[in-house]
Amino acid sequence: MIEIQGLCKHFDDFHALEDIHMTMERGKVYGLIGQSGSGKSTLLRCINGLTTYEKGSLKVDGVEVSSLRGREAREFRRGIGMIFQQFSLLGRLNVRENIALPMKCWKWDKKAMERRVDELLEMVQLPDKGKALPRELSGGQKQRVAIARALAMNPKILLCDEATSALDPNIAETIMDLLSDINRSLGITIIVVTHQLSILKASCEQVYLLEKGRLAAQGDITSLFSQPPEALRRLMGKEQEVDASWEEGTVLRLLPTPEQAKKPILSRMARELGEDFSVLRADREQYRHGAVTYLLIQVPQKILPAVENWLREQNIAWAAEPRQQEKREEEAV
Amino acid sequence: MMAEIIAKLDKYFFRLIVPAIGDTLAMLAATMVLATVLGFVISVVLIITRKDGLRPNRWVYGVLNFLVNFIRSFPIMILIVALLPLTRVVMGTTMGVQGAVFPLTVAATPFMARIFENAMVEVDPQLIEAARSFGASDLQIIFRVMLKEAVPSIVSGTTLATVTYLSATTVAGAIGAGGLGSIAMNYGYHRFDDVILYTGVVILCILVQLIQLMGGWIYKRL
Repeated sequence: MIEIQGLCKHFDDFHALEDIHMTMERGKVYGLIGQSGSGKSTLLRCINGLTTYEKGSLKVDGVEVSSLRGREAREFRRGIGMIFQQFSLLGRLNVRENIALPMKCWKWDKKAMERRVDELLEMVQLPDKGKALPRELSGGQKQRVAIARALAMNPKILLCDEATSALDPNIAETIMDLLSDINRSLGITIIVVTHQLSILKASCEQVYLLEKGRLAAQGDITSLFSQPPEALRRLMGKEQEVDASWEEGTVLRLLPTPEQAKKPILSRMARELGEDFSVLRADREQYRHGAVTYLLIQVPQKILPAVENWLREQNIAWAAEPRQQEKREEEAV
Repeated sequence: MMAEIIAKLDKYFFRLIVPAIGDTLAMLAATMVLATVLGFVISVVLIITRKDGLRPNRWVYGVLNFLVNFIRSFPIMILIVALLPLTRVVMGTTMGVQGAVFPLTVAATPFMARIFENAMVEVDPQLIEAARSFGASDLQIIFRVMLKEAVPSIVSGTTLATVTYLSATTVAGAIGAGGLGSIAMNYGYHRFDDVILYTGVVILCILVQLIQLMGGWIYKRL
């Protein structure tokens, strides 16, 4: 449904986006992550034509976005909802009037408009807040109103630009749950731009990672986070750093399947091999399509072949973690 | 002393001062209505064509911006005098309320344009982006988003402008137009009649307070 090929966007000398390639399918939830200034918000604005691009192609349902002008462009944007970090509600309009604004601009009949507003308020679980002004609402409620407004024109795509970044973590989670529900019940394609990785895990299926305007990593969220590529590690920063004196051995990342994870893998391995190793980290994370468990263990060099052998026998997936040194070299490059 | 004041007020109040209040208010109302309408149109063009506007256009913005600054750089008295020939052509006279409304409108229009422009520029650009994202047209963005959000600061700016141009009507009054200014100058100052002069001053003070009160009342109602 969205096809991006060789997309470039320059602001004077600054290369905001450089040779981006992406394909997004209908009805899925995509994550666009990266540090601030990595170009993710710019890319989002290219998709609904709020920003132009110089080179390459961006097609939504086969239509080249940059070719649209005037009323055509406005009708195209009507089919794509968008929500923002600061909610972007009109402070002098109440909740109902804010939600009705797009319909007013598209000259809807008053009765149909009222009905649709009721429907939307129900959907975002604010049925009794219609008369409230935005300043009387909490951040989470404001974002719900913004979501209702973005959905007013029945869009096929919903763009979320750091939509949860101004909210408390638990409120952010409920907003993401709401977006997931909307995705499931309405089949709307959702593209989430964020720098908060935790936000993505529960709701996204595919993730694109941007770094300095370039696509640095992409893939299925579970595989991406269970075995983070270099760029993702940089983004995760301290959270992911294993501060171990690695000189002693190799750090392995074990990735048991959900079935395997229910069994006591580590203690069995220790008993069967009769060897010692240390556990650096173990975690279980909930994703949209199930949970992922990973274990980081430090294995002395001399028993490494035995451990690898055992893992192979047990059919448990694993990978050696890159060393700090290698990391530094890569950064230097 | 007191008796003298009362006698004078009795003689002049209804014959001279009340009609002057009417003239002043007529000049002020006509000026403000015309300047608001014209100023709004100019501000919309400025807003659309400015650098980060909806349709940036350096030439249109540059010329209009220069004109607004140019007119605003005249002290009101000089502007009225400088416009005399043009006023005669446009209004048919340079005297009275009619002769004053033209130069006052010329002076107040750029002032109002700036008030509208500043108020609308202050509107959060993210609101404009949100409106564009659901397909609002440029005019809808101006009327349904920018103007709507800017109303409070437009009201306070207009109150300020009304007070400023009330004092301008008295300047106009001193050089040919009627109204409180001309009464205070001609009957008060030039004839050394302090009672008339200060009655004019007191009435002007009351008018300013009333304008301010009204502006505040509307602002609170928003």
